[in-house]
Amino acid sequence: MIQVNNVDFAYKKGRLIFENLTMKFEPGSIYGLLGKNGSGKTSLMKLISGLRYPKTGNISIDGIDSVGRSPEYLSKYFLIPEEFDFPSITIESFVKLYSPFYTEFEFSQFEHYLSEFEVAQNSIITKLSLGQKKKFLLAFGLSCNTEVMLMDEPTNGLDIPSKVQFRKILAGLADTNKAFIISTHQIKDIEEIVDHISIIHHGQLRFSSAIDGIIENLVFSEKQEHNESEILYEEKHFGSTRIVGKNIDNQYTTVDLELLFNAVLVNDKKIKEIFDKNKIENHVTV
Amino acid sequence: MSQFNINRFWLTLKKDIAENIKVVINTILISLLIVLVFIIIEVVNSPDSIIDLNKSFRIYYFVILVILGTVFAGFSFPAFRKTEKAISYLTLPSSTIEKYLSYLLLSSFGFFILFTLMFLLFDYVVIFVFNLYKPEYIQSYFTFDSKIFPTIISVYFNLNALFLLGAVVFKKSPHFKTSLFVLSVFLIIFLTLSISIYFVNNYSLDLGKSNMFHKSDHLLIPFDNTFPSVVIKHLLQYGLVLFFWFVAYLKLKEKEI
Repeated sequence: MIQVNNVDFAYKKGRLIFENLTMKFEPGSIYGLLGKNGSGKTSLMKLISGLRYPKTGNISIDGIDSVGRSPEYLSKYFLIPEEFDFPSITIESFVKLYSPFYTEFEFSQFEHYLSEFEVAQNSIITKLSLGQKKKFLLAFGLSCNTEVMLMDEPTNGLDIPSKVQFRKILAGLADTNKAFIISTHQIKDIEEIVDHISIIHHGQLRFSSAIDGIIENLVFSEKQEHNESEILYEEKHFGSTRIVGKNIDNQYTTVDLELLFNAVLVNDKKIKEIFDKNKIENHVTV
Repeated sequence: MSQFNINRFWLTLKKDIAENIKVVINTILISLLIVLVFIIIEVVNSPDSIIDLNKSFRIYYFVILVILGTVFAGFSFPAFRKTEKAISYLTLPSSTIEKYLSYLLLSSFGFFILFTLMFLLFDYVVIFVFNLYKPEYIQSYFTFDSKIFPTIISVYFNLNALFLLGAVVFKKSPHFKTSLFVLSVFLIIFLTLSISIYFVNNYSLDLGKSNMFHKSDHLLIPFDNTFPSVVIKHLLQYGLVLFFWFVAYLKLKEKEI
């Protein structure tokens, strides 16, 4: 389990990115970490991966602190960064050199993912296109079988068939005892696979809930179906008005992440009240 | 899981060798080719009787060892020149000490051994060919001058350690920034000393005329072969090397991207 405890973090003195941030990520879930550009998603990824250290507070995976980047800590996760660079060697050589660092690495799994993504194993990595490189890194990262997978904008650079493939692979891993944290602003790409949503805004965790909790507490529908008093957020959408409302009569609607995201940015306090009232577990907010 | 594991260290070293060895060997080969050109020019332009290739080879060995050694040390941790590379380097599951020792071995000791072996082989081939075609002016094979060799080693390791530290500390242009830093430090020390001596003794320091650096009988610390003298001498020669290595390790440990 990843535990972020009372973390303050700033790149420059006096300009805090996170203030007293507390959150946790449990195994067996796929977390969607949402936020606008510059909201702190990548900074949180860097903090969890130990590339940056918190000014105060601490971050741990299974009780091991991120500070110091111990091999024990580093072997708990695999990070797919938004931008990456590889040595000028073949995929085969890369696997030979890098996979022994990950004791749970499965070569057959790697071969399977590579063929799913249609990447040739004898390619020189630096000669692959950006999308191909990303697919190779995803295949390698997933085959490392670390407890935690950190993915920063994993679908950036992927073509449509590869995005479908990516969702399919991840959906197949959803029940395993691993935590996947996907940071993205491309909400549509992860809508069908995530089972937990965390929204970061201005360096603060504004919303965090399992998809089940969202369905139980909120409804996503057209405006005419709802009474004004229950509406938490509304926005015009191609002639109609879509709303996020309080679920008072146990309707179960499909979660519209884009609508939820905008609703949280506008009305997070009211949403928090609803969740608190219904005592939904795992809900953390400011 | 301990901070140092021999298997993990070996994996780290193997990875670093695989990623850097081509550049190192190619650069050494290019520098040896340049030496060959100089040697040919020397042979062609000198009257046969005064050619002493062994002396020339010793100078080339020293110059290239120090220059290339410094350059390679400054290129250590190449991942830090680019954020994307640094991310995958720092998140690789091996400890800071394993990552650090791997580059220390490669850029300091590994380069020294590889370069020396390649140079000896190069010398052997060149002298062999020369002696074959000019048997009347037999040249001897490369030998280390036992008087000067310890000094060469000391200069090599001091510069190497300093630029290794620069490679960890500076993201862009580590060679330039390290050189600038060293020059600034020397300038400050020189100016401070000059001003202090001037005001205290009303005496201006003239390094050119000072005997301090020229004659052993005027040295501030007279070295002999007693145990304390030997220890002090080695501390002066290698103390800074150890200091730079230690600081480089600490800087690597606290490195953030």
